[in-house]
Amino acid sequence: MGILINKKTRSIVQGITGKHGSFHTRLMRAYGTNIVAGVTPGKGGREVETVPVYNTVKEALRNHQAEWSVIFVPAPFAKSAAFEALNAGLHIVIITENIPILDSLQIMWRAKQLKRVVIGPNCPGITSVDECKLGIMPNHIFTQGDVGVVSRSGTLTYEIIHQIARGGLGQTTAVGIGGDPIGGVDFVDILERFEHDVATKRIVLIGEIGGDFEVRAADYIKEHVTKPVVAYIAGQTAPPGKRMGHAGAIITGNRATAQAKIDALRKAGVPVAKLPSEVVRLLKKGA
Amino acid sequence: MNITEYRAKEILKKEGVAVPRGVLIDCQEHVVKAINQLPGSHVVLKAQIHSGHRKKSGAILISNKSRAPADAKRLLGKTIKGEEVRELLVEQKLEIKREHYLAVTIDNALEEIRIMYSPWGGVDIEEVVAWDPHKITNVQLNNVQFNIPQTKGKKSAENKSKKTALARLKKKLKQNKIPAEISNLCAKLIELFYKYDALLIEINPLAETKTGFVAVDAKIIIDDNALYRQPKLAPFAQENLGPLERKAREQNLQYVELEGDIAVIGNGAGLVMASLDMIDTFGGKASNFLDVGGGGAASETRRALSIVLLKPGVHGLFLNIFGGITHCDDIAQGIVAYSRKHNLRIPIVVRMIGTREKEAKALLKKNGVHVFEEMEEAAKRIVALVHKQKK
Repeated sequence: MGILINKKTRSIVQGITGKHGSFHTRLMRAYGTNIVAGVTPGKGGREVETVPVYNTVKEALRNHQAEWSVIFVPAPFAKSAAFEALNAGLHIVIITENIPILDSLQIMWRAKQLKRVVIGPNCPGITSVDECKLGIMPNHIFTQGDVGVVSRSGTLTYEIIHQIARGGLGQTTAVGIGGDPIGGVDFVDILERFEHDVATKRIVLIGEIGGDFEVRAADYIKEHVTKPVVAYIAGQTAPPGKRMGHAGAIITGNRATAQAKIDALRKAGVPVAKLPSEVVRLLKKGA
Repeated sequence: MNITEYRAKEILKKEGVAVPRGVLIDCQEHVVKAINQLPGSHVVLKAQIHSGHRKKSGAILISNKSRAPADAKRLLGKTIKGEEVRELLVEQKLEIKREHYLAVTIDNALEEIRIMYSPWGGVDIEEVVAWDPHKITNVQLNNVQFNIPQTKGKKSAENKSKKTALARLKKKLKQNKIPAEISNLCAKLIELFYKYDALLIEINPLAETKTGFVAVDAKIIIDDNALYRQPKLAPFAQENLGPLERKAREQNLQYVELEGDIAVIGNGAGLVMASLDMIDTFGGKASNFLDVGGGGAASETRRALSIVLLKPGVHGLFLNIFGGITHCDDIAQGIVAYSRKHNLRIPIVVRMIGTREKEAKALLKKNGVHVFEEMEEAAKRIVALVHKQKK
């Protein structure tokens, strides 16, 4: 069990012939993900890791059935790749970073019109443990369990998952929602799904400076989430006005600071770990 | 990327928005010539720095023409809010009937483009709106699939969508009782917003004059991610970066200079931010943020090291690597190569875990660098070593 994807999920990969696309197609398949086809314009007819490649999403879907697409296409072409997948009825995971914000905005508008799910951009993707992985999270860090993980970052998420595992706990699904100011699913969307997922008994939320995603998550938790939630917020010592790696990780106003987020979460009854290692301890205490 | 007022006004002027007459100068000798080109008895001297609230920080002066050369001399070369004034915009002083405020930005939470208009513009707009939120009108706009330069094939469809969107916008503005002249300006700014990949266009004050509306001040922020399709603006991207930040940018490394003395490198923005926080928790201070990104190789590690260690006053080095796509031994090779070549004498603490961790550890151990598996233990260690060294 878990959210959004499972054993039955079928996906295509856009940008499959590129360095990252082909490498991660191999790793996703090694994890047991059903990658039915790949798409790279002009490279139709080839195979990558025994997966057939097509020129367009439409062509791929004439020959295969899928619900999702994982997009590795470079930033300048990511918008049209995303539109192609959305118009064909697919949900999408956008791994690509540095997509112009106005392009992202238009992708989100299109997805809303078509009622499709977008994860990312600039994200590590989603893994439902031992069932399906769409994205680039390392295969070896996961153990099955009852913790749902949602995060804005990549390696920090792996780190905390690793610590959860060392503490003897496992995960249901881990979702990296991405580090951009404009993205698809946000904390609230994922919290709602974890709340309704029977296998998920507790939730870890990993946030960072910038935007007010975590403050909105806190408001939502207070009203709607009955399962225990533990949070960690990165960037507690980050100076204002400086972009800390992620496009969205910049303090621009009172609600964007780590402290504002920590305060909002604590007020909503969510314990916030000062150090990453405290996450596990707080999880065990809360459950 | 925050461009200077002068450049923002160049863009506005080109797209048909009225701006005051002005001349850009970078040395005091050109002041008199600039003044003589402008009408009226007074001129406005405006330091072209990137930070806001310039009027309050003394970066904008109104002087009569006889005093202007001396005032300009005072401003040029002065440091205001940490920025050296290298350029002055010398402008005509307008007769202003009323100051308005107009801005276009993106509402990240609602995922919409937002137009903000207030007839109570000027330096105190923030306070005015804080006191009375009704004094500003917000108009949200979505589903505008515009003709962004890169999508050539679908131009006609996108142009149609643009026309519909602009018609919708004008209707909305009318419903919100925004005057027709402002509404026309809004449509122009929306087009500009897309054309230049802006994240913010702010005109404050937007001056109401005898001859119409004039953008007396202008702020435009351009999306860094879109600079590949904004070739004319791309060269300005590095203007307000420090020398090390510039060097990092050229090498595609995410680097931010900080105040402390422990250099930090990690893979992944979240992990690096967490590293800075841990160092702080244990009583140290980081001298930088540097993300080598995913799949970093030995050469990237060497380049990253050469940037963070160039900063004067660094007393220790901390690397935090969670191996996934990144191979730990690649990073280890980079560390060893760099420290041999430069004969590094400051304490180094490396934390590594994940892909090819064993090989990395063996290599570093052979070269006398201690490797930790747990990052908190490692962060504690580097703080302790730096404290000891300073004693």
